[in-house]
Amino acid sequence: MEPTTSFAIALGVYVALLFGVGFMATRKSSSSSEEFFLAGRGLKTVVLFMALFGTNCTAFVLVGIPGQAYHDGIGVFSINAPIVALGIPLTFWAIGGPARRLAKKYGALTPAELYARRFNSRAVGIVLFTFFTLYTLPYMVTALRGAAVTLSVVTEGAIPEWIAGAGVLIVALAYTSLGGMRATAYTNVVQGVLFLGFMVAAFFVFGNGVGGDEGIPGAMRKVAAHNPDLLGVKTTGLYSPAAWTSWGLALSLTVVAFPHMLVRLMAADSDKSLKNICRLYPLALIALWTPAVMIGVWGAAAFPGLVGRESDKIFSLMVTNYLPPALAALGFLAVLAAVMSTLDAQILTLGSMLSRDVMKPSSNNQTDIRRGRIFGLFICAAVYLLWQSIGQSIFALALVSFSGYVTLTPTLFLGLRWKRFNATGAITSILTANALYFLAMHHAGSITSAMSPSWLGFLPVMWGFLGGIAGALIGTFLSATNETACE
Amino acid sequence: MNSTAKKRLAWIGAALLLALHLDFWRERSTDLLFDWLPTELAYRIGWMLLAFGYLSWFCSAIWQEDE
Repeated sequence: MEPTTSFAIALGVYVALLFGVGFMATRKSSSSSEEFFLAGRGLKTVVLFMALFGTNCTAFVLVGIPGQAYHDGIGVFSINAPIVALGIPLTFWAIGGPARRLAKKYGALTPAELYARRFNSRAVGIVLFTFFTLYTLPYMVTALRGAAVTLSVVTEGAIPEWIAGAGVLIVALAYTSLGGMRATAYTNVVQGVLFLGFMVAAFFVFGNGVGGDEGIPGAMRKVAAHNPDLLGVKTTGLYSPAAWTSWGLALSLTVVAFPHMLVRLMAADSDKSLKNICRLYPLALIALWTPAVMIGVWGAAAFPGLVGRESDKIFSLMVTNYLPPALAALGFLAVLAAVMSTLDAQILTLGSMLSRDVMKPSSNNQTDIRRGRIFGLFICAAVYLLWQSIGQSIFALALVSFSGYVTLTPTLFLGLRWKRFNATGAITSILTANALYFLAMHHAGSITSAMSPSWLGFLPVMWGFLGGIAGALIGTFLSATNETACE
Repeated sequence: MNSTAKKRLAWIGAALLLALHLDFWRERSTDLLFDWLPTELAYRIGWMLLAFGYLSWFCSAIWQEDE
């Protein structure tokens, strides 16, 4: 069977599955706003884990990380995977747990709404919504572009990128609008199984492919003979002590501040489910990141000579050279699944925030849900137009966004854990953090230099985070005590 | 073990893990263990399994559901 035909069949089955799951979730999800936006606050361990892990892992892990590991070797694993395995679960405890409980108490359905009610301040909700949206849109555009390029490459140009991108958005919007959070969570189970399962299988298949008769040990020895430095860690740039430390801070703190992650934590049925997620996270990260990095490292030995961003093709090269057509189709579908599992969550979350944080929440559930669907459509249109108009410079903006979320974490944490923290403190914290973050980037080269060392060698994210803490303390102590108590 | 001691242990555990992650004091080898497993990868996966153990304990001992 032709590779394109295999992919077309796999894609058809995949889309049908997504619609099926979305349709199944429709009836229950349309009964109330809480059902539609938060799955009735009833996500249990397995679905919650796949919803969080699927949302957390983007196509970047499948395609971008092998590309980076092609040049930098196992150090890419060292600097990313371990600290994420510890940092994310701890932020789920520090922020996710209390956010879930307080959101239930206040009846809040979005992260911005939760903090607006906690501080009894609509301004806090609007400021949070603004930064959540500013940092999420570029992220969505890069995901969309990744999916569009994948579809176009696999179909050998039969589907042009602009149609592929529109198709991905339409499918994601359709099942998200049909079944809300429940549909996105259930589809994330399908998508998570697909990309996690593929990566684990790929580790063994690619290892044997590169190593030949000697299997994975042979592949490792081939790398050692080709370029032993790929088996270690660099000591310059991002791998120097100050940059390594600040990158660890960014990775640990940023994920919980993604609004589409925080809202899923708020949808958990209990703290018990959240605890189970935290226990599973390190093991799942080992299963995902080891293959992702080794694809790049083995690829460097198997296909040497790729320069710069050309190495992003290494995933495709490995898939097409070492897998039979049917399995190769699954590989490309895995990339698509990773993109869509994040995109659907972002559409739903930004749509719900527009519906409930910018507009006044309606007392009529059906009006609320209808607004969420319409705003989801607006978000998709905005993402599509941004993609078509901004082009390549979106990658720099996406890196700014990734670290930028960290500027919100002092407010997200202190808002739940410090009784005296008030609305003035929250707004001062967010504005100071972002001002320092952009100043530090400017000092590092330009206002999009998120990954370049700034003052004292630390990345700009470190300065943004410290600015957020300082702003929170100054704003709170210089203003009247807020009487709204937190947990 | 009382709750204060558990909290103290949680801080020590987290600090220890952090020190083992910010391991600029360690010579980072490019050797293969048993002639096939990269030492660096083994160290990091070992660290992640330690983090798994720590988090399993943390969720049972420190994370109170009604806190």
